[in-house]
Amino acid sequence: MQSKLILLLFLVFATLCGFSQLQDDDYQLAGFVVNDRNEPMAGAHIFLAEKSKQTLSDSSGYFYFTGLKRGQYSLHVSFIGYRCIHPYRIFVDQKNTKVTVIMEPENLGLEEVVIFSDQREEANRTPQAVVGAGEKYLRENRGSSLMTSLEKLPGVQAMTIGQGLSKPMIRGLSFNRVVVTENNIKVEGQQWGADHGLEVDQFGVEQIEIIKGPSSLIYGSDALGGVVRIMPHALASPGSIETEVNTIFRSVNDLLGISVRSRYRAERFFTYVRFTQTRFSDYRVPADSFYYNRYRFEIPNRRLKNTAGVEQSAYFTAGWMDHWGKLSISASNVFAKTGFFPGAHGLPSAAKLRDDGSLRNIELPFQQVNHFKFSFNGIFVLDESRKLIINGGYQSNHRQEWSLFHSHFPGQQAPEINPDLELEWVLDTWLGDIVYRRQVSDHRLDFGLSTAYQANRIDGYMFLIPSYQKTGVGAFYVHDWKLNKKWRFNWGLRYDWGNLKLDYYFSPFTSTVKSPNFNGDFNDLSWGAGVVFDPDNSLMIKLNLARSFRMPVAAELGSNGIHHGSFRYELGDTTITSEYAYQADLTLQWQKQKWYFAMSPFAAYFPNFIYLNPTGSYLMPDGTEIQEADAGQIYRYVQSEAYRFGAEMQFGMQLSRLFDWDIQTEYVYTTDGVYPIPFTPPFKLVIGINHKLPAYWRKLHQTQLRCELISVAKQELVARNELVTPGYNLFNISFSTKILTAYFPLGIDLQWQNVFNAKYFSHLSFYRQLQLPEAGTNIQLSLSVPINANVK
Amino acid sequence: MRNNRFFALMLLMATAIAFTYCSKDEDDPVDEKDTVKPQINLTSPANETEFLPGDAIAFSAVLSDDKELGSYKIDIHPGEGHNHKSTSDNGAWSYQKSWSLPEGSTNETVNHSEIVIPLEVDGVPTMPGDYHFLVYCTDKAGNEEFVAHDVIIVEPADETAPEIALSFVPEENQLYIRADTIKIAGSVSDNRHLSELLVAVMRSTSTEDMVNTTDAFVIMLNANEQVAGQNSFDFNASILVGATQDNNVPPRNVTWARGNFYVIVKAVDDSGNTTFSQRFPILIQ
Repeated sequence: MQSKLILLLFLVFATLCGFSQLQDDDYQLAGFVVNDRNEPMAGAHIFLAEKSKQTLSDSSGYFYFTGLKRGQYSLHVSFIGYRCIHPYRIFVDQKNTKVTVIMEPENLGLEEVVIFSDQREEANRTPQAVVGAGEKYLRENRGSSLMTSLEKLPGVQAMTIGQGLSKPMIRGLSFNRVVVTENNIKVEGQQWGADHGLEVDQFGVEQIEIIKGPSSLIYGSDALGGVVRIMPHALASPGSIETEVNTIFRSVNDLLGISVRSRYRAERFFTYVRFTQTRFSDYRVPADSFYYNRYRFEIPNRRLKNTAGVEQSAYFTAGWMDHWGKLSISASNVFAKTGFFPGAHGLPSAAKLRDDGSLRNIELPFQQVNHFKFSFNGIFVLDESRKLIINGGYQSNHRQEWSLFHSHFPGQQAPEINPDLELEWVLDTWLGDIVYRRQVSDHRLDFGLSTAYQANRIDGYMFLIPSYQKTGVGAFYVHDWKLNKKWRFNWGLRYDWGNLKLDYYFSPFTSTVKSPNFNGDFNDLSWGAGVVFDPDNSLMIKLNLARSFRMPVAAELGSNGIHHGSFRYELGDTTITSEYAYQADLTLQWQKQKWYFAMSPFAAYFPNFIYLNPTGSYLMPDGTEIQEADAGQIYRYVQSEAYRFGAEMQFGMQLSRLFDWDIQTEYVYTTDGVYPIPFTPPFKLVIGINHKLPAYWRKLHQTQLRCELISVAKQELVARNELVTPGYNLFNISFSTKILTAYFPLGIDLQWQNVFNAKYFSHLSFYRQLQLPEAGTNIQLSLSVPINANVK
Repeated sequence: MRNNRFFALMLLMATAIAFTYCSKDEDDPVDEKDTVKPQINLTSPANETEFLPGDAIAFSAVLSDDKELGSYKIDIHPGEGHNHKSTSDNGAWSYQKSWSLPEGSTNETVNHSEIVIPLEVDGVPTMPGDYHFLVYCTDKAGNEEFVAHDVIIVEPADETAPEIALSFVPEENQLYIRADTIKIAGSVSDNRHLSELLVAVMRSTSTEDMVNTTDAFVIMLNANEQVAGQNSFDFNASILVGATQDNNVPPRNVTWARGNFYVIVKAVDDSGNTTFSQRFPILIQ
């Protein structure tokens, strides 16, 4: 009896021991968080989902969790500026399970507008002034389009056309003086038009770099003001499919948008796909009426009629990388249809502005553009010192402007097909370039050749610019020399040959030749030379001198008609020659532990700047009256000297572990000797305070609150017939965080723009001439959900 | 070392500032900057003045500028509410003319009486309605101002009555007996728009003012709805002798009688001008 009892007790005890062995929760998980260069990361946030425990890594990157049971766990590791690791799966099967978590930087981002980032070698290598932004900055500053999301960057402005697509401007230069590249291929649309926006889906932009200054040396014609470089997409982690769903809502125009991205990477193969769609209605303004030419017009319900729109895009990339290099092929299509405010085509009138009962409908007049692009990019490593870089592509920009048939000439009949198609252009461009890169000890030599062919076909009942064909070939040499640890020199030379053929066009309505046959060659030399002084990690001084050029565009040579985009009669001049610029850029960057300071003044001289001159006359050069109704004086394209200078300045300081503030200013002065150049951006000041919410808020991570004041001065540097724009102050509040739910982290970006619903006019807006105010207060909510899966 | 760096930095900053602000003075403007627009005081025509085609529009304005005037132009074209689907066959009027102003002038009063609204445009009567009367003025430097007044071209009174052309008529004093068909055919047209068309059998004692849907003996055709707004209309009117109802809209009951009657066509346009065809006497037995 007793032995049985003892045996039973023993068995029970043994069993209990056995169980507790399994339920033993004195397992420990510990490890280090390091970056991609094996440097410890202090203050990284590690969250253990299954236990809802979290901790921060110490100064040597060390962290630990105790009281764990044996089993599978997933960690979420995050650190500002680095790609969040979620989940990091680990099986805890040893009492002291060790792990090393490697974090990768988030796409060379410019978080907190800090200039230095060791990853941005290329940007630091160039002696030009560069500013950049990564995913985080774009998310937190998202506006209605790519350029409005970037317009707070110093030296960068957006020319807006309502709330849809906008145009890039760098230090006051836009239109055909700024090059935009996507995957190293120039984006070619009808850049010359003030109401033509940049056909790029902003959700697809992960990292952007803006070179402020003449860059024809590498980018050829048109890179006078600078280059907006949309960098290639980041790759997924090997063996995983990374999907992200983004949704966005803007209250000012009831915008609803969704963008879904999915990327996959195997050992050597990678792919990327994205779909985006946004729809928006007529936008709200803080005004009941506006004045045009001393007449007062109503703005029913305080919403600008017919400024609604829809934008859709699809992007696809597939590529391979191996020891031989990397090759990727991309195809994309961007579609946008936006209404024009009815007064923008012709004169505003009470009848045109009556409420049509719908806020989302897009009625006449409207613009519609479809931009299709196919490109390939290859980097071929020939050996450790030689590389071959090849880029090429085809794109087709199909643009239409629809407006109820109205004739400017007596006797003109509406066409039978598409009677309301006012203007149509199909612009096809083939581009290709090849660079041979050779590294010889401390010298890097680039030998490049670039070619381009472009054809424009016109249609529509109104004539503005002729059909044309453009060919260009450029050859360049760039030398980069790292003399020693502190000094780097960079210089280069380029020669371009171009040809432009304008097609003859005779108008039966005016019985005049609207566009003569024109065939012109343009030969241009570009060069650049600069130095980078980088003595230590805190100071950097760059000086750059460059000469860049651009071939005149068909509009400057062959315009002959009423341009609704600028509300005038425009006349080209076939004797116009290539425009070129000489610019000196100085960049100063100084960073200490608790503060940073940067300044970049510049000065530029254009010996033959091309612009539209108001002739003061209503007669054509040959003395005849123009036949069109609704046309004021004749504006003629002319060339003259122009001077531009200005500077940007940035300063930021950390007040405490959780608070920091920053200030940015920019200023541009332009003159042609007598008058300023049109669309000169006004002096702007941005002051912001950032507060990082402490990590003890359990569910919210990387939480940041920002208050910002944007102060814009009155712009009195105006050309003839350009309106002086009063100054204004805007106040913005933004909040961003990541909520770690059980299954995925939910990214939230909340912005309240123009908190006080200030009524203001933007000097750079297409609607400025009509004295239409900009959008009122806006609450914007963006949600992002990453869904990742391992595929092995 | 630190001091050297500090000095270098200060020197650099000073250069940068000098760069930015001192260079401004290098450029001495050759001409004086002028961004002040000229002023237009459009005294005639006043806003929303009405005119008839054929009238002269007296145009007078006072133009002034702070430095020197350039040129001015008037531009008259159809305003809102008009569908200009095709501007060559609807009589829309368009007029542009510009003049230059004397050199060195800062104030000019201009008067023009040569602007005459034509009676027709490309063979079509001038389209009535709202027109924009725009006056543009530039100064020597190219600054431009403009003023827009509305002028209204009213339709002149329509005194032209419709025209009736007949292709088939009853013979004089034609005899009709029961089961015969009385027929008359032709077309009507008007310079503007028709509004009524009536074909009736009238008692021989009836007068023209009795040609209506109440007093007529038998209505052979009531085409008021079809001709409304039309410029012209072809018709073919007939009635069976002995029919119980006529062709009015809605039909009226008819009691046929023997005797002398006449067939007549009446057309009215939208201004009220009326035309009667001749009387076609018939006999009914």
